[in-house]
Amino acid sequence: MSGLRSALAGMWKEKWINLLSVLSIGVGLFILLVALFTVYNLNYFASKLQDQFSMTVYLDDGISQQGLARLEGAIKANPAVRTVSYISKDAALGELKKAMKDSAYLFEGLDGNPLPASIEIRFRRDNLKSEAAQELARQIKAMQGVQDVQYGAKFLEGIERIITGARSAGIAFLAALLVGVLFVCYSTVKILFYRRKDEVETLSLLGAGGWFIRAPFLVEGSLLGLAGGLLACFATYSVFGGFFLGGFASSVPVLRYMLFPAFIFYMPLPAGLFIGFTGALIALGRIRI
Amino acid sequence: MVRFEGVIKTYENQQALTGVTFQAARGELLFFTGASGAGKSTLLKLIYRAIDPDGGSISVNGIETSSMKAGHVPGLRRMIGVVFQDFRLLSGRSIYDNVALALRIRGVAERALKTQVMEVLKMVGLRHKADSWPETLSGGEQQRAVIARAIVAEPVLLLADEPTGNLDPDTSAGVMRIFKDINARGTTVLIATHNRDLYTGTGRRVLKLAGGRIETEAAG
Repeated sequence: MSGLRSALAGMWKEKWINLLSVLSIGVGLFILLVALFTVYNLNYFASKLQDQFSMTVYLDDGISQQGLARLEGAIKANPAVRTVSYISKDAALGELKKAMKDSAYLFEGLDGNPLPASIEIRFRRDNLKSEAAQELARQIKAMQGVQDVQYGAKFLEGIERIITGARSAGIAFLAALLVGVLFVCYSTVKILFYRRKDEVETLSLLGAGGWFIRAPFLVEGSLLGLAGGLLACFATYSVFGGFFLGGFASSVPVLRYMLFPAFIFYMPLPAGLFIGFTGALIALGRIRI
Repeated sequence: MVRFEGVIKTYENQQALTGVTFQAARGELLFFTGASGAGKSTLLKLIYRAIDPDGGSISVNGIETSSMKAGHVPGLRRMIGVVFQDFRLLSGRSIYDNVALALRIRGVAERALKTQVMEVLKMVGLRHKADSWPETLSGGEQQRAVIARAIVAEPVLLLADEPTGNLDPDTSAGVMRIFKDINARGTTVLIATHNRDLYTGTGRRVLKLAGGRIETEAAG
């Protein structure tokens, strides 16, 4: 209680420095959220693209029912595989005719069915890696009754590059911002500490231990972070809630497909508290009392 | 209670104490006197380890403090009440809070400390000023507030550095009465002063410092 009272008194005494810090922390956290939101949606779109990915295994015409069952079983045994669908020769031709119904003359005079039967494989999103797909394709190709295996290797690599790039850039940007906001808290607490050096010295001379002296500054740092978080929350509600989800979203179509995860609305508070406390802890840890 | 043996303290190139040796018995009221710069404040600061000695040995309440680790210094200071020459009252906190601070530092619960603080404020005649800010008090009142803070936790040793430096004779006499009362309760009191009136006629030991050592010892 004593620490909280001292912290509040101290904050009021240095209100302008504190206000400036709260604004900096609030703006920093808001930018951090925008970055998180962007990375989150990039990941989301990339994973949606992954859902479209499939691998097609073309089968020999002479494959037996037993051979087909064995092949399907072997493919399903792979943990990365989500579904396996068999497409018969007739079904394949039917699909092709349906897709090319405007060019039906192409099929006139067609002698028999030149298309092979096939198996379409879809993958679990989290297990889909281009190297794993390449390895699976190689293994399936070596199986009896398989004519060829085709999949969008370049497409998959492209998605992977987008995801990895977005994640790396996002993490680097987030880390830089986090360090920036942390530094604001660290510097503020350090400045406040030195501005109250006389008070600190008096407390020490009266017999106060290190943590009795540090506690109000820790509380102060945490409250600064929390206030910054509250400001970021307010900005998030205003900007995301009003601007994006409101009228603006209807005029910019891409916004309609974006996800607004709940955490961006409540995360600034615990994040601010954590950053404020950590910044203060680092600042005080480096000060000898 | 306090024992100095050959204590030396040097500030840069100037020797403040050049081998001070004395003992203050438990329950004693002892004065240190001497001209400005004689080393009175240095001597008191060495007792509560605001500064470290450059030589010799100091013990307080049977504890050797000259070689004490930094982590144990707060514990030593909590045994001692100090009336600072420059008051060191915290601005932005009421007189009540300033006095209560000494108890909060010692971990006394909020409910328990109120009675103690109000009692000690009454003792120094500042009960009616409990909610006032230090800046609004006169020099004499501030001095009494500092005394209240120094004695509220009933320390075994009370140190006062020029406690009447800024006070008129009547207020000085009032402050001296408080010290005698505290001493009568068993607290050892060490007072550094150049105010002759404070110790004359008390019959207490007066150690005169000059040139960084104790020059004479006499009864006040």
